[in-house]
Amino acid sequence: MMSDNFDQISVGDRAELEHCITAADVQTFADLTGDDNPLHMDDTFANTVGFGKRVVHGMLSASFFSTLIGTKLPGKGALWYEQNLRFLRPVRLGETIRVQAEVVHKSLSQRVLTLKTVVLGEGGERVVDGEGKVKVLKPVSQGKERMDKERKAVLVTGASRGIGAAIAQALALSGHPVLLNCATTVADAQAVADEINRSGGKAMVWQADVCDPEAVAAMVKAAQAEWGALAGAVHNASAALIPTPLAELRWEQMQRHLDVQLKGAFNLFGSMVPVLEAEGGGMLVTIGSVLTDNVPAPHLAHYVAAKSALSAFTKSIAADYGPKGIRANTVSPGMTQTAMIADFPEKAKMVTKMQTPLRRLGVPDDISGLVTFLFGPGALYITGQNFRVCGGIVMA
Amino acid sequence: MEAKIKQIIADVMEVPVESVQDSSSPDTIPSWDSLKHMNLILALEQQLEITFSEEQIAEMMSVELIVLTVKELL
Repeated sequence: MMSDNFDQISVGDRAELEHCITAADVQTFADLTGDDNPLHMDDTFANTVGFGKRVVHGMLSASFFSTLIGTKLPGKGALWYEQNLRFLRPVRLGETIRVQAEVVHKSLSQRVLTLKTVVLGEGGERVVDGEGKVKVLKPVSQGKERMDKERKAVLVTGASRGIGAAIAQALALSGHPVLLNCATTVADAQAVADEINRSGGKAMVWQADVCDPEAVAAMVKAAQAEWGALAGAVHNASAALIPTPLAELRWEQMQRHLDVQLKGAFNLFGSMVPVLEAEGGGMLVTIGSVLTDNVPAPHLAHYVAAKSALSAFTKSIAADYGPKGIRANTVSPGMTQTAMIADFPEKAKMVTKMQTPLRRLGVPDDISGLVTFLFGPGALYITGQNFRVCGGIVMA
Repeated sequence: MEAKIKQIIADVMEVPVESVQDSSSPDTIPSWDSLKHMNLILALEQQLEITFSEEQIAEMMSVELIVLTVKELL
């Protein structure tokens, strides 16, 4: 019976072993404990005190309770912490004893078994009895046990270009099959997927608007159908980043950012959480922005508001589903050289570079490295965090 | 104009003009400290007859940014 089968142990369960006690056993016990009392070692002496022949150490007979508890009831994981004993009659050399234990009480809350323990002599009469208490240790949950050698699949939204494409490529390189989602730029996404597949990775493209819950649900199902188990998802999709002063900003622009980033995450996580819950856990990553820290860059209220909401949403998911083994983190890039900032004034990029302690702008691989780490075995205790990958321009 | 700006920078920083590259900054020219930076701003304003705003001065963190900022004013 294994200790992690505690739930299956019932009051009345019994275990037994037999052992013939030899002179060698007695000698070994005496050598080990230093108890060379002539009552156990010398027949002549034993005779002079009325025992006829020497007798076995009482504790040697009782020591087989340890064997029984440690190997049979409950077995592996047993912590024997209390025992009382009565030695009812001496055991002789060459006598075969039967050692028995029976569960008389089981504490579910303490994971403790109370055992009636008895040693029977050859004639079936009790020679030792007593009661013991054993705690059944619960195996400590080792997150690493859940990390499959074969990496599970990851869905990446907005994966046709820039940071999303780099994340898909890096995850594929580390062994994850990847689903590359895009709303419109299918040819770009397919080119990334083709490159991954040519390099020995596994990738598929799935066109879906993340704002559409049914399309997102179908996408998650497609990934399951293709690869079975899923490790999680990365929500990277974003609406176009066009600086717009409030006086010119239309609510539709605000709504678009909220839809793609926040509603997209809502739809994606809504479909992913039950899947990951069934698999015992997983990782959800959202791509935020350091623009939500400190003083936001000018005229990006729509983008910054949506990214802030996304980061807060991610933290809430981390809190709510941590007990289910689902981790959720935000990775917030600083200014990163992608098509998204192609139209930014060169001077703004140069100023940012010089304000950055590492004196350069980010590149997509800076971001993908951290995201890949979050899906790896080193990140099993990381959730609810917002990681800035920004060369130090923001220090939290 | 770019050559002239680099010469002013070289003079203020007391380094050979050949060592002043687009990417040069306080990170790469050891003598470019806060006092020299202030002198550089004054030298540029006097010799080029321009005036920088506080915001522009804050952005002038490298040779290429200085060149860009000056060009915006001319």
